[in-house]
Formats: sequence, structure tokens, C-alpha cells
Amino acid sequence: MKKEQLGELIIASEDTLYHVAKTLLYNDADCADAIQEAIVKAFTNLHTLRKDSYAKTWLIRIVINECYAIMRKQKNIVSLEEYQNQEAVWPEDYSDLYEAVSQLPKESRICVTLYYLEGYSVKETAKILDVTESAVKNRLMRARERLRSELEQAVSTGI
Amino acid sequence: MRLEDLKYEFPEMPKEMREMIEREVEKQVKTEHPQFQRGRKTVGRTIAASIAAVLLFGTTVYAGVRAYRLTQEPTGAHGVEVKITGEDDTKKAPLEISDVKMEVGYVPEGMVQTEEGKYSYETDLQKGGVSLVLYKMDTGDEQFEVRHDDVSLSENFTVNGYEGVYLEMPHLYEDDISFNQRIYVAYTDVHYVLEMYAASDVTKEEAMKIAEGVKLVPVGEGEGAANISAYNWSEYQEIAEANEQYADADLEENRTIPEEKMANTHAVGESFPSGQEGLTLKVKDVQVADDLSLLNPALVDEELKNETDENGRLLPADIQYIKEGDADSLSEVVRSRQAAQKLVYVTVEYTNEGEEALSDVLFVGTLERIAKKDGQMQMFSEAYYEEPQEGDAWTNACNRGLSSFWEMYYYDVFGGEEHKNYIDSILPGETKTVHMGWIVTEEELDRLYLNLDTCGGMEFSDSSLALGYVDIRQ
Repeated sequence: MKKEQLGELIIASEDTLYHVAKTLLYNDADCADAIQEAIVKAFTNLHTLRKDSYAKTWLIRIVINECYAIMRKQKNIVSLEEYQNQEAVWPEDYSDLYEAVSQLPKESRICVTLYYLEGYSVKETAKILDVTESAVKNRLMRARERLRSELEQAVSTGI
Repeated sequence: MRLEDLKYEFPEMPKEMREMIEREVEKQVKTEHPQFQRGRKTVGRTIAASIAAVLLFGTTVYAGVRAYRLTQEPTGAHGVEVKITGEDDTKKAPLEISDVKMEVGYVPEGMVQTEEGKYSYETDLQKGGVSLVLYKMDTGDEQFEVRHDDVSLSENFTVNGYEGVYLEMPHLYEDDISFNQRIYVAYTDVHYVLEMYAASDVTKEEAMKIAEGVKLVPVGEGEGAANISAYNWSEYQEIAEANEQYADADLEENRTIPEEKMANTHAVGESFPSGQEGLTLKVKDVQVADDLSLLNPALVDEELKNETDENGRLLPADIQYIKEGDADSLSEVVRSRQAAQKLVYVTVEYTNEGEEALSDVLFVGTLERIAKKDGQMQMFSEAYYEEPQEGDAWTNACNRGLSSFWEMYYYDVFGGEEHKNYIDSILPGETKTVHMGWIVTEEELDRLYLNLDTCGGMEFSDSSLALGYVDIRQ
């Protein structure tokens, strides 16, 4: 793949990259850092990509790795619950569904995003995340169960 | 609200971020990037660089530091515990760990980096190869402890002055690849540990050479294609514990239900509501074949073609009965047999009986295996083809054919942004038809139920029971 083609792929996939980063990192500044770093690494490592058809999957994995690197570097990590309890700024225009998904463990969140938002199959999601298909199904199932009860609670309490 | 609605509910990317991406892409397209040298042995220079790096870090560690050893101790005839122990006759010193990145100085000819820390042979990209992880012992070197069962070979070795342990596990299937080797190298003077997973397509000698070619460099230097960041050991342990909650065993309780809970089972030809307003489903017909002639040839992939003989007939699946290894024994295939495979081809109709057009309709079909046992309905697990009975010498029955995949392997409608299993639109009164295909073993035909719940299967979930399974048993 040529640099220009990679550039076109990145532009065409920018929504996907944002979805992945936003799923793992809460604020947009971190998402921007992760995506920017991922773009640099993708161009730097382009010569290692031998199968063009795999390029988008490869790109997503680079973004995921960058997100995890940012999460590791963050010194003062607080849980979402703590963050919200501190009455920090939490945009009120985020939907109940997005907020509910954001409460899931990160392994489940990224599965939900890749499967439901990006439309990857269980097999493809497993390849992207480098886990077994069984693990993906488990995470999706647990996410669905947890979200069902949280969304029902949100509706019943008028949140 | 449905998870499928996440595409409408997800926050939009800020305009500034979109502009940043486009600027960065433009900049990178114009930038010349240095190439990583593949297949070039840099062992000589690597050793010198490693020692230099270590000496550099050595000056930042306080005097009187504990000496550590990487050891392996048997936990059984085939069990090993690898851990770091401190020498008792030296003082404990405060731990000051400099940040480093790992550089991989050697990869075998033909092997390429697929992502950070992962290398595969070009002939088998994304399968096999090696995966390297670097742990920063943030809570102390003596916290490092891993246990392995089913170990066929364990050896101590020294590389670049550091202690290492090599482990090998059985590789049961010669026609497949498994990650059956582990290498640990403890850089105890700088408080890092390397863990390498090596697959069966990498020789032990090559795996050791890769370990030998690893060097640690200070963060900020040597930015290039082969840098690998370190994980805190404490975080790794947290993740490992969190992942345990997703163990398959937890699903057992949801795989058996009273027969009456399946009262909402539908027949072929019956229309029923999908749960989405206005949308009804109907399995119009079910066909079973010995070959792939019912399928659109343009949509048959190589993997499916490889499941047929020279006459196009489906080959039988190999069912292998494995006794799993433990600390005292090795995994082995105790017996095997063949099971004839069939194509199950189902026609499903999605009808919009509402007044509004439906768009981006997700469709999923899972072939569950359900049978009545002791007055209850039991769902079989995709992961385990058969359950061992008392007295059986095996622990797992592994179906090595394509019939081991229960999600729809074939479908002929494509939509959505990714051109996948979506119906782009169904107008009021319109019906769209999807053909789905699976490979199953002949002996499972009498226990097949089709689950059209978009949440998928694996257990008797509330959503699947509410939707109702379709009885397509033959």
C-alpha cells in the first residue's frame, strides 16, 4: 500500500477511529492524542503491512494500542463513577445509551462499539481485539445484560 | 433503545478533530519515514547496546540493591512455576525504575511486524509468529510469578547476561498453529521482565534468537518501528483478574431451562414479530445438501471451498477427543472419528408491516443445538462438541471442521457502511429475503433451532426466548 492510499484510508475511516478512541477514552483531548499518535505510527510502520485488505483492521488495532498507552500513562486515573460524583463536567447532551455503554468495563465497551456501531462480526471483532470468538460473545452477552437493566432503570427513574 | 441505535446515539466527532486528522495525514504523506531493516542479524551490536543500556540504568539504582534470580520450580511432573526471588542476605532498597522501551533487534527472515510487539511470517499473517510483552515490575520484582501446566519441556538459559526460562507445551495439530512456547527473561537490575509467546511455526532456536536480540532503551530515544512500551505488572494482574469473570463456565447455568420456557418456539412458515416495531420475521424454508450448489459461487470463500472434495461434496469433520494436560500430565488426543457434514440453507423473510420505512436492519442467524434431556431443554456449547461422561478418558471433544462455527457462515444480502449483514431499507409493506447458510454435522440435524435474535446466542437469554427460536430440526 502506498502512503497516499493509507492517507485516503485514514480519512475514510476517521469516524471509525474516533468511535474506537471515544469508547476507550472519555475526553476528546485524549482521543485526539491517541488518533494523532496512531496516524504517525501507521505511516512509520506502513512497510510492515503486507496485506492491503487487512489495513483497516491494522489501523484500528494501532488506535486501540495508543488508547491503552494513554490510559497507562495517566497518573491520576479516576473511575467514571468518581468523575461523575465529583460533579465534573459531563456533557449533558450525551445520550442515555452512550452513557450506559461508557459504564461498561473497557473490554466490553470496545466489543459493543466494534460489533454494534461498526458492524464487525464476532469473528472479525475477535481478530481485531486478538481474543477468542468465545470471549467476544461472552463480553457482548454480559454487556447486553448489564445495559438492559441500566437502561430500564434509567427509563423508570426518568433520567 | 437498542444497541443497534448506538450509531445514532454516539457522540459526533468534533470538527476540530476531523481537521486535525486531515492535517496530520497531509503532513505524514509528505514525510519520509526510515525503514526498519528486516532479517538482518544485529546480535553483536545488540549485545553491546544492551549492556550499555543496562549500565546506564544501573547508575540510577541505589547501592545495596537486592540480587534477584529468575527461577523455575516444578509444581508437578508437567507443571512449572516461574518466579523472581530475592537473595536474603542483601538489603532491600527503594525501587526506582526508569522508563524504557523494548527494541527488537532480530526477527527471522520472512517475519514482519504486524503491530506493536507482534511479528508473524508473511505466509501466515495474523496467525502464529511471536508476541512480546514487557512488564515493568512496579510493585517489586518478587511480585513476578506465573504458573503453567501441560509443560513438555522447561529449560533455564542465560541471554546477554540475564536469566531466562524457556517452556514448551504440546502442539496437538500439525495442520494448525498454536502458541505453545513461552520465554521469560528477567532484567532484574532494571526491574523489567520480558514475556514472549512463540507459536508452533517458530522454531525454538529462532525464538531464542529473538529474545537474544531484545534491548531496552530509555524512553525518548530510538523511536522507530520496533519500540514496544511496557505494562505495569500490577495493571496486568488486575486485567487478568477482570478477565476471569468472563470464563465460559459461568454460562452453564443458562444452558438448561424447563421445557415450557420454550413454548414460544416457531415453526417453518410461521410469521412472528421481531421485537422491532413493524418488522416481522419468517423462516420460509430449510434445505439440507451434501454440497455447496445452493450457494452463490461468488460468495463462497476459500475456507468453505476447502471443506469440499474434488467433486464438490462436503468433507467429513474430524472430531478429536482430547485429554487436557495439567500439572502432572500432558494434553493428548486419545481418539478421533469423522462426522459427515451437511449444508443447511435457510430462507428468511424480513417484512415491514408498519407505516414507516425501516433502515439499517441488522440480521443475525445462529444455529443453536438444543435437545430435551431429563424433562429439560439443554443447549449445547459451541466450544465443546460433546460432553464427557463418567469414565471417559477425555476432557474436550473438538470439532475441527467448519461445522464448529454456529454463526451464519454464509449470507447473500449486504448493507450498511461496512457492507455487512444489514438490510439497507425495507419500505412499508415490503419483504426482503435473506439466504443464510451453515455447515453442520449430520448427527446434529435433529437438534437444530435457528435463533434470529440479533444479540446472538450461546445460552438461553431472555431476549432470545422472548423472540422465540425457530424449530428447523430435520
